[in-house]
Amino acid sequence: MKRLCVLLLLLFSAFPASASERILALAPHVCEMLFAIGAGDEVVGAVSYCDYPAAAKKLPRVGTYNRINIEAAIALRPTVAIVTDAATPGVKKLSALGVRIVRSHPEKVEEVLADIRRLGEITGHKQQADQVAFALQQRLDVLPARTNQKKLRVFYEIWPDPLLTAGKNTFIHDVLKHLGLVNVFGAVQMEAPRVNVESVLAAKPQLVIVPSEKRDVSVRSQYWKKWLGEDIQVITVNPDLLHRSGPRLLDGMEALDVQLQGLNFEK
Amino acid sequence: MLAIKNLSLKRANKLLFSSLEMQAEARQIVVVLGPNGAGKSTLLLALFAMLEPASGEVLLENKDVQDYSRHDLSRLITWQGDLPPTEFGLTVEQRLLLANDGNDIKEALLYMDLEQLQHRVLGELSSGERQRVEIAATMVRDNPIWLMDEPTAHLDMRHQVDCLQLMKQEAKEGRLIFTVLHDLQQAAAVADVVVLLDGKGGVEVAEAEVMLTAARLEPVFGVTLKGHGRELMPVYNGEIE
Amino acid sequence: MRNKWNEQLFIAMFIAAVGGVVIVALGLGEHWISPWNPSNNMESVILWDIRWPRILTAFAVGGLLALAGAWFQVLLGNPLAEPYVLGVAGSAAVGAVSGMMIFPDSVWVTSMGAFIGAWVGIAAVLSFSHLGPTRLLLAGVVLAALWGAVLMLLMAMLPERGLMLAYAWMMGDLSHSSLPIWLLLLVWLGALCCGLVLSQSLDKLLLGERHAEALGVDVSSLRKKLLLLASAVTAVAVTAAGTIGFIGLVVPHLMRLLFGSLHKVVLLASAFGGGLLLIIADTAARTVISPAELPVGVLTAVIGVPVFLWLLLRRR
Repeated sequence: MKRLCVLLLLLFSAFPASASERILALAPHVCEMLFAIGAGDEVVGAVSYCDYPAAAKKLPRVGTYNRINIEAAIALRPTVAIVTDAATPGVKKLSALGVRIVRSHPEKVEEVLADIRRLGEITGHKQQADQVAFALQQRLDVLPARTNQKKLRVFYEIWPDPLLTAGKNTFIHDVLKHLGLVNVFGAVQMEAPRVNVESVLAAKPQLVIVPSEKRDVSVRSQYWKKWLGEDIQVITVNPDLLHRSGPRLLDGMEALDVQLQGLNFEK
Repeated sequence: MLAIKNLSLKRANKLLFSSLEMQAEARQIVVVLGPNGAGKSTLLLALFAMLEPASGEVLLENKDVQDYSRHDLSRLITWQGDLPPTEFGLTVEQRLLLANDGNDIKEALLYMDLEQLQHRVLGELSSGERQRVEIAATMVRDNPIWLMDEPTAHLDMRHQVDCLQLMKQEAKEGRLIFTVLHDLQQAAAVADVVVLLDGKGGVEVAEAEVMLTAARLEPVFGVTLKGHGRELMPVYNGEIE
Repeated sequence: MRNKWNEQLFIAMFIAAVGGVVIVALGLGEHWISPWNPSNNMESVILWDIRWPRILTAFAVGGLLALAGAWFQVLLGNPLAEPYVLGVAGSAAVGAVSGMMIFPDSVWVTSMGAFIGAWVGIAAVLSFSHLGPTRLLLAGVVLAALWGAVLMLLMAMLPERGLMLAYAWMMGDLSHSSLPIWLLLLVWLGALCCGLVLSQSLDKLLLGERHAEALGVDVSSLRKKLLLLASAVTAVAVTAAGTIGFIGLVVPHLMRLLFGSLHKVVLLASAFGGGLLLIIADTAARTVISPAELPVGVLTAVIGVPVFLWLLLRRR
């Protein structure tokens, strides 16, 4: 009888259903998702740029976007690692050492919500995850699709020098589409095509979006006014909200939407 | 013209020879003889200040050659040495025009049989042809002193004869020629004075008739010689020891 | 064979070709704009404010790289030498990337870093200048390897964006020069003039150091001058546009093939020919996948490598 009890206890504790997953969050958006669905306590390690929420900053760093320090990672005794790219050096090794590898790399807005739900199932926080996803979906539905207007032509300046923008099938491209905007370089089959002033001029954008990351936005604004004329509208966004495929995406999209509504455009 | 005073030369810390003392005048041909490695080429280099002597000096018109500027010295002494590299595709004509200082090159082309080759790239020529170019380059510069390091190397018989005749002719017209030669008969044909480096640190200078004898040369070269004067030559069909 | 008249005619045609290419390059871009008849104000802006400065930059930088290549080849007695072989480009890249790490937002700091880095590399090489050509080349190759290792170390420490920037810088960018264009053109002219003045001595140096000395050239002084000149020109080119390869290697060779080996002509032809080649490469870079563009360093490799191999095989 005693043996049976011990066996049953062991059996139950072997199922990770309710407790102790030890999760490595190997991308900033993964970190944010896990904390949002209440799995923050189970996260034992993170990578650089996992800076939200504040608790995430205290997590030990086990690598960067392109490399994982196996020793540091294994020392935390993880059970599952959530990565953006299974080909990142170190991931294979982790897998060989028995860590479960889960991939999360949303390339569309819908995939962000889907991933939230999926992570909820994996970590045993399904209910909370579904709630979060549902709330985000509602906010998404409320955003004006602007289908009955002439769509605004947008140049999205991912980087000033070299001049980079977002091409087809990128996350940014999808975000813009959801807001009813047209990415002027949306036909280019590269992820971050390098363009020049002439092509931007020829593409005739009506709006330039400049993320506030690592550049002086007023300088960029002057620059684009010089080349595209005084009529060009230049607005700025927070890249942490809009470039990260995580739960704060809707914050970013809503903020962008507010800015769009404040613009003066004759439609 | 050229006075060598107490000259000692070293190569990589090894003393080649010491206390060479001689006077060389215009219209003379001085032949430098000696076994390989004795320092013959090095001596020529020292004569136009390409290297510094271990001791002693070389005086050109009573002024140390080391004190001349490169430019001035190049107007007085011409050096014919090894064949220049050919990677860069210079033509015969271009190579001669680098040396000629404004003089006409036609005569030299003619004498050294280079007219057909004058627009050819040096890299395409045989070593004998390139050697002829070097001698032509010496001619066109028209300097009073010629230093020639094995001028007959690579040349076929006819051109060897031409070269030796050229040297005799030029000396007659007033030049001073220092030349390194390996062939005893060639040396005998042109030498007025002979400088003999024995390769063991010793150096002797004497008139050609005095130096070009079996008695003086056999100990230095380690071969048996027969004949004298123009007919002095090694014995080839003796027993090989 | 080729007499003086022919040669002068050839050179004149060559310079005319450069003019022709410039005109075509002006017209090419995202769409063709006729250089003498732009249809509206925006086209005019594109022509003269965007394409023209870029073409001028390409011309100057290409010419400088070709001149430096010709000089390094005669300095090292090796026709396969080029401006980066002694590590000057590597040290410039280290300087630029260091600048990127310290002040990631400032283009100016990156350029200063490149310039300082180039001169550090030059100083390192100059300290070996008393060595003969072969040993100088070896010293340079080892230095280049050192800079390469330092560069890799720096790049391993860069964040993701920084890595992309570093690569972009190293692949070359003519769309905006870090140095004013008038300065580049002035340096181009000055370098060409210095080269022409030295050309007789340089020709004699082709015969080897001893023969050059025997012909009156102060070889050690000439080598120092040459090293300084070639390195300074490389430093300016790399600071302005990043490290663009193959021009310095391939252009002087092509010019020698076309015009013979005398430096007066080779340097003149290289100054124009390098510019010509880089204009072509850059025009291709900004049109083949338009509206996106390729880094110009890719195009110079794509054009330069087959040409170089052809030259190599031909010389056999």
